[in-house]
Amino acid sequence: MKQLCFILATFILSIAVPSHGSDDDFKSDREWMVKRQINAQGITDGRIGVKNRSVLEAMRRVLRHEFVPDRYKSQAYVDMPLPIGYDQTISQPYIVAYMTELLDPKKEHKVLEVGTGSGYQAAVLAELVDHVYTIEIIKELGESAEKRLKQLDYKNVTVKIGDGYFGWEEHAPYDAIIVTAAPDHIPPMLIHQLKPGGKLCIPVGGRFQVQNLTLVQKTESGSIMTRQVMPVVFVPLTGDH
Amino acid sequence: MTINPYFLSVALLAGSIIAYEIALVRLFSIAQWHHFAHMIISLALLGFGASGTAISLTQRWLMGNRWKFDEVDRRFHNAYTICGLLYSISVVVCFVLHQYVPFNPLMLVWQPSQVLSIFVLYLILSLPFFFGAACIGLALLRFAENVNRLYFFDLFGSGLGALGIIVTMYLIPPAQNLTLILAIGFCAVLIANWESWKTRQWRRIISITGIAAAFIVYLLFNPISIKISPYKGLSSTLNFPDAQVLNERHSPFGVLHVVRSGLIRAVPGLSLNTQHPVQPQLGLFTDADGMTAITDFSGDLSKLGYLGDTTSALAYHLMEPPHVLVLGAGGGGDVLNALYHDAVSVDAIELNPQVLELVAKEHKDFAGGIYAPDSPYPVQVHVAEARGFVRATTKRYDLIQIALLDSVSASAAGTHALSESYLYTVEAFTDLYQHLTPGGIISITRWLKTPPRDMIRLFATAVEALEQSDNGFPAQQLAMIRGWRTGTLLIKKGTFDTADRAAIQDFCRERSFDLAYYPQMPEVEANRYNQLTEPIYFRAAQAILSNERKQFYEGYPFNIRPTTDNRPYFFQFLRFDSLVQMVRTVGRSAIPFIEWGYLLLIATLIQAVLVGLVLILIPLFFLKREVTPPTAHNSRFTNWRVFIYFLSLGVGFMFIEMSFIQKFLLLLANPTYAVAVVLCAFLLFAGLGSFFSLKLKTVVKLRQPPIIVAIGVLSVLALIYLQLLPPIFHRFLASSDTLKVVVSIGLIAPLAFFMGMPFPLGIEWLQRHHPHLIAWAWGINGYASVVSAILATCLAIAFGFNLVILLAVGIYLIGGCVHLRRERETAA
Repeated sequence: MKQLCFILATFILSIAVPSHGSDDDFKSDREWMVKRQINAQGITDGRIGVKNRSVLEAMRRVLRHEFVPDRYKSQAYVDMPLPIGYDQTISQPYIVAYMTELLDPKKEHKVLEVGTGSGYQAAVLAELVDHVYTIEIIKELGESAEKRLKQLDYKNVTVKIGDGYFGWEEHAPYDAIIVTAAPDHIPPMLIHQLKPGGKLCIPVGGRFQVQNLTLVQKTESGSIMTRQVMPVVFVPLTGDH
Repeated sequence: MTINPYFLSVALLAGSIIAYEIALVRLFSIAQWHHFAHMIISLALLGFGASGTAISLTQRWLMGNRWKFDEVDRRFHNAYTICGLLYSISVVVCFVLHQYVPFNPLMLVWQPSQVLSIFVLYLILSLPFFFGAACIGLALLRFAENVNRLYFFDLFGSGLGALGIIVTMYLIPPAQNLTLILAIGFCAVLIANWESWKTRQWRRIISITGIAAAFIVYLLFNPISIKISPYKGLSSTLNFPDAQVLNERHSPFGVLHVVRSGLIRAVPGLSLNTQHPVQPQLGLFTDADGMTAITDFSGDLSKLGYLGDTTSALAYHLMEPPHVLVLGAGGGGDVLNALYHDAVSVDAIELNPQVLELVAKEHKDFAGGIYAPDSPYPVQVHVAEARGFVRATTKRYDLIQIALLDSVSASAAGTHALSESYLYTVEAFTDLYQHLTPGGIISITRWLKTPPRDMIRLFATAVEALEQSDNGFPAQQLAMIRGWRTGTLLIKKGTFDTADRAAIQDFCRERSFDLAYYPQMPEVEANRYNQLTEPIYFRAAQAILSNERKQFYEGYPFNIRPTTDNRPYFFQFLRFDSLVQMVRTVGRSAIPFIEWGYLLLIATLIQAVLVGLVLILIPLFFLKREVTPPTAHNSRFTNWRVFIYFLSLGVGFMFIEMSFIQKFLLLLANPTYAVAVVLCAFLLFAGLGSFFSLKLKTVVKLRQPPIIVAIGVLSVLALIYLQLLPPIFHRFLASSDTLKVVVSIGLIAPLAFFMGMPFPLGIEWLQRHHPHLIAWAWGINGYASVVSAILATCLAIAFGFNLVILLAVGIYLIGGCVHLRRERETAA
């Protein structure tokens, strides 16, 4: 019954809630998102929550609603992926936060992102590291993400339109690499461009499907190890809101 | 003998309806995913039953005063014509309309509002079935005294429709089949208006012809297009800036697209340590997903070094240059892998001839001519189903490779859960094993899932196959490794010796692959590079090989028991008991354990039963108020007996038909042809059975009512076949395709003949005693057919096809008993 009520409530909200007018209106949404969907202390449904305080703070700061199309703004802080055009999606807030935490970002880090999308993940990383280099294959998406990031004053993000398969040799090596779409193999060039001790995070699973995360680590000696981060779950059909 | 034009019209309509159903499954499989196609179309088919309900509720008006024949004829004729026209138009209009419904099945779990969309889809897509079936139901009501002939035309038309659509799928693009179906529908309406031709009612004829011509001409100049989900592989790839579709092919095996883009690179299971660049590739998509790569091969084998860094290359490191059999050759990745490892010969098996043609002819130069008849390489290609080829061949191989052809996202989502696979069964492994040379190896590669499933079930299936073989010693004959995305299982005809073990260790160490099992492997060697929370694969292998196997299967959260030919659902891992327990204990964390294919099937069944029951019960409420005909036997149980009788016929027929399609797959090998041959044979011979049903009493002197005799004979035949089919199939497996088809038809004919009798005999009985229940009975039969088709799959997954056949016999016998009781009461 509880589930049924939730489904009904979500449905009514999804069609009835009007778009918010200003950033301030979303502040409480962001706070709620971090507190109930991401923060380890707030999650009560068995998921592994995010503990890294700076990641949580970054999630509070980045204006996610600026990264989604207007028609989805009212759902920007709901824990779900959303279409952003060109058959691409913006990942749900939880997965963005969780992947960011897995990379263990530091202020002095240089990070490469393959698959800019709307630029949201790059913005979150930009709050935490020295510089983010991000590559997008779809020109229109890349250009709009670049414009958006500039408008939001993210000076430490550089966007390139191109094929991420070969990484971005010019700025290599990277402390961390994040690949937002899962291919059937990890491009060898990305491994090469990872610093010893660096981490690469890649989600495995189709869009809107349950995604498992794979963390690739390059040891100081240069050998490669992967770790399957056991099922990451983020389906908002249950839970207290 | 003159043929009633309505009967011909019914045959055409029945044929076009079944063609529409098959075409719709294809179109949905292209636009969305197969399991959603199954659910939406199953529910839309309820339109069939709904037509029975509608006719039941309107029959008093339709049939009017029975003594005013002209008025009855006029009303019936008008209703038939209108329904026929609406059917023809809705075939196309509803398909086009449904594409505008904002439905994204992948969003179902995220956006509850998608549920509304799915109900709108059901409604839209059920309309053609409703109007089409209404025509047949009306004819049944009007010509109940000739039901045996009418039902014969209905089944005969359906049989030809099923066969016809398979042929036209080769000839015209999938969506344009709808135009053909629409045209057949209009033809059926025109034939039904034969009297209008004779009586020169030109206005009516011109109106119908005009509407038909307008639609057909419009569709010829504005072909229907399919909106493919943006989240399927083809759509994503076409977003690449340089992507270009080079070829498009269509057949019953699927729609193929060859796409060129510098960004296509598919190498499942490539090692993270590889130093070799991946060669340019073309993407070959089947039904807009499941990409296999055609590799740019100039003849320089040294450029294929990366293929040696995949888990599937392991077997080549354990043998001298082998004679290789590749099952599922696709774009040629595994064939190139064999050539890279100096294979002496390669037999490449591919089910879809168009795939081979594209690689061998259209892209011969790009692919280096590996499939071409004048290939400079020792490669021979065969169009065949893998299992059928293996059983028929007398050759022996050093290495049998089962390729990884399904897409990783489809695999992860459990979309194959409802698909049977006769390649991953105990019997299949036994067949393959018998075709190995001494010391030969079977190599099977699969995507890895988290939590682990596929590889563990593969291991369990291999263990059981080896235990059943002569001198089998599974603990010494198996090896399993895994990378970060794929795993490979080796089954050796012989034992893995010390040299083999060292080679396996070296291969894995150099490529950062993990050892999961080899004889006498210590646990410390497991789970080194691609770390799981614990060495699950190693421990699972140990448990399966130990005496604790049964407890392990029972305790594992997924169904990883070996699959058999009787239950060939390798991709169905869901266990309801564990799922319920997991949801209780870990809440949302249980979601990854859900495989949508099977759950959607259950959801479909529940919806179908609920909707079916409501629509069946509505007429009952109104029928109570009907004036009982003077000839009727007044029993308060009559309605329920009619209900049980026609329900049992619908369920029994579908259970047997579906089970035998699966059984004959083993003999006929090719799934598309198997379905066409078996379905067509069942419908045609059932039609003949119907035709002769009313003569049964006059031809043979019977002690029992004909219905009881028919049910008795078909039950005995079904039980005999259950025992006899395996040895018969074994005898003819290596025979020519023609002989196999003849044998299949010969076996199906007597069973189907008697299965075609109970329905018309039952209608004929109703005509004599309770004619007001005929339309209701038609509706019940329609619902039963839809629900039982879904139920049969559920039962086969859980208990196997043999049980489905046994249940069918039991259900038929219940129907027989109910009729016997009814008959005796009437006689009394």
